[in-house]
Amino acid sequence: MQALLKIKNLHAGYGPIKALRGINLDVQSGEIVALIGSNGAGKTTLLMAICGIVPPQEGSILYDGQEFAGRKPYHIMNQGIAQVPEGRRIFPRMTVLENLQMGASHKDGNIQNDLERVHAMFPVLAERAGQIGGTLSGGEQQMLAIGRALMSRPRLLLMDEPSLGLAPLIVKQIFDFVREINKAGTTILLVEQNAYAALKLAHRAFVLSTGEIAISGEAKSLLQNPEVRRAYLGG
Amino acid sequence: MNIPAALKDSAVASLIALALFVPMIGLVLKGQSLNIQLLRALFVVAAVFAGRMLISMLLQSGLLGRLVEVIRKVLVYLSPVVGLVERRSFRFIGLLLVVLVAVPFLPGSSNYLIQILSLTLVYVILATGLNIVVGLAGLLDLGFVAFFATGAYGYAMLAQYAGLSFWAAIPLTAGIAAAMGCLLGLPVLRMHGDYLAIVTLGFGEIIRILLVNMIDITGGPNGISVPRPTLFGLGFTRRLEEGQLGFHEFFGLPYSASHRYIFIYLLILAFTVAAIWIFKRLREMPIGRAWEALREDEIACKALGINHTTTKLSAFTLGATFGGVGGVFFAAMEGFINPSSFTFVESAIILSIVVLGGMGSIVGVILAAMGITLLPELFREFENYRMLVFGLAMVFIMIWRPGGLLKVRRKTFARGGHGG
Repeated sequence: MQALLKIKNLHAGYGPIKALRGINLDVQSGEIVALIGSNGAGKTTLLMAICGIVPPQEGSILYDGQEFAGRKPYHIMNQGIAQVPEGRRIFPRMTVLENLQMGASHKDGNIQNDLERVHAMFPVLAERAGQIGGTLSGGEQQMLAIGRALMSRPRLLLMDEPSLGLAPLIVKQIFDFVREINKAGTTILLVEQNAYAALKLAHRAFVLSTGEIAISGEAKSLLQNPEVRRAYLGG
Repeated sequence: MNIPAALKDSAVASLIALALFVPMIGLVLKGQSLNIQLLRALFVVAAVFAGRMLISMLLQSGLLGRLVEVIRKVLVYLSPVVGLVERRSFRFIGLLLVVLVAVPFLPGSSNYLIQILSLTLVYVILATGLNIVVGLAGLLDLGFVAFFATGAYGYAMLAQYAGLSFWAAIPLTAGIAAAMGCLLGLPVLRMHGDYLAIVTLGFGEIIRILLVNMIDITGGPNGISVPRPTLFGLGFTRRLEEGQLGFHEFFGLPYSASHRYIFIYLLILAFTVAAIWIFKRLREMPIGRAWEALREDEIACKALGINHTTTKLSAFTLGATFGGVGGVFFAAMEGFINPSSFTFVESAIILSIVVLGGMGSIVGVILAAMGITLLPELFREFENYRMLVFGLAMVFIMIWRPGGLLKVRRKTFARGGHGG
């Protein structure tokens, strides 16, 4: 079976700083793949490189058989791929509805169905359609960021730390949404600091350490891995 | 009342005044010799002492606090009016339009009034253009005057060297200004905030210095004269060109210079309405949304697959087009232009109209343009203090209404919303 996303020997960075040093990673269609690692390991850079926002210096990113390395973000992001960026990054002075509409900005035609689908998943976004995005609570903003990404009906959803800065109860809710989105047929690559929750949720996982893949395997087996337990799960 | 503290404050103030005013006005240069006239300085110092004493007393008695409170209350009472204008903004614009169309035909109207109003409208066009760049797309442009100058000189030079008429020059000049906007946009695609501001500032100055120094082409500091616009070939000048029919001849009226003023005024008014309409449409179109999204968060825009290159360039290009058209009208209105009309201060004034009026707001920008061009005319006698009042008004508006005179009200869509 052909992988939906296959990354080979990917190098990327910022000027002289190398953030990614030869990443090999694959995501199969229908999976949730978790990407864990400490601060500065290169998790966000990897997502940004897939989107073309941080241009790869070497290696290849194959999505559905197409080469993404060297292409512009606006060419990549309309190929059925969407990102929920780190720190939510909603448009604070635009309304909730406008935020959602921006998520489908490169789509032609009617977005009414997509809007209804997102509203069905997050009813709060329908109730607050006319409210200014910046006035939502943190959890609602995260839902908005996820809803915005879902507006383009992606096959692959990249999520960067959706639990960042949220209360434990809200985090649980967000993770339930991630599972639900996956059940509905979207493949998910999930970057998380909350390693335990991420490994519980995911099918497979990769552990990133200083720009390289240190460990990879079934999420369940990584939960038992002594190295992973010591470094990321607190013993 | 704490007299010793007040005395102490006043003494400190007097000392500072002493240090300042003795050299400044106590020493009088007379021919080669220096006259020491300490008494003059001491008078000023005494006045400072008394003034500082008075302020201390006022502060201690709470009178000053009460005064601020009164101003605040007045503003609170005014805010429903402002709110009404915000909610009914297009009715307000309609009313304003009726008044503006009627003005030239009312008794008491003068060529002077019509000229001032024309200038105000030119500023509305310019500010609407800058509002695209700064208000919607959030790109701080301190060199907007470059496009204004491009428009004005574009028309003047097309008329002089290519013999083009006003009507042929408008679209051509708008195109040249748009190209200039795109040209400026290309190198600053990756720049934000302060860096962008500096580059645009430099661009504005480059254009002005070019105009000053290319004497053979632009006439340099001596300026260049601009032909007057015509109405379907009918001229408005007293001495008509060869074979040209005059407006007054055609309609069998006695010649009057006010015909020309009113004609140009109504022309500018029509284009202002068009500019505002275009701006309103752009704001609601997908490209307008993309500009606003870009202003809010560039990374998020890239992550959503918005083409930030074309989005930014289109903001610069369209903004510059408005600037160019504003310049053509300015030149047509003045009949003569020189580089001193296109200094950095112009950029600053246009930017303050946008900031004072409220970024992205239409009515706010119209009101601010009127305030900034009409008020100084009303207070011509106090010309020297204009910048002072201007600065104060800016400070107070930023304190009390940081979003500008009129905040942009976002349209609240019905549940479910619209497609696209």
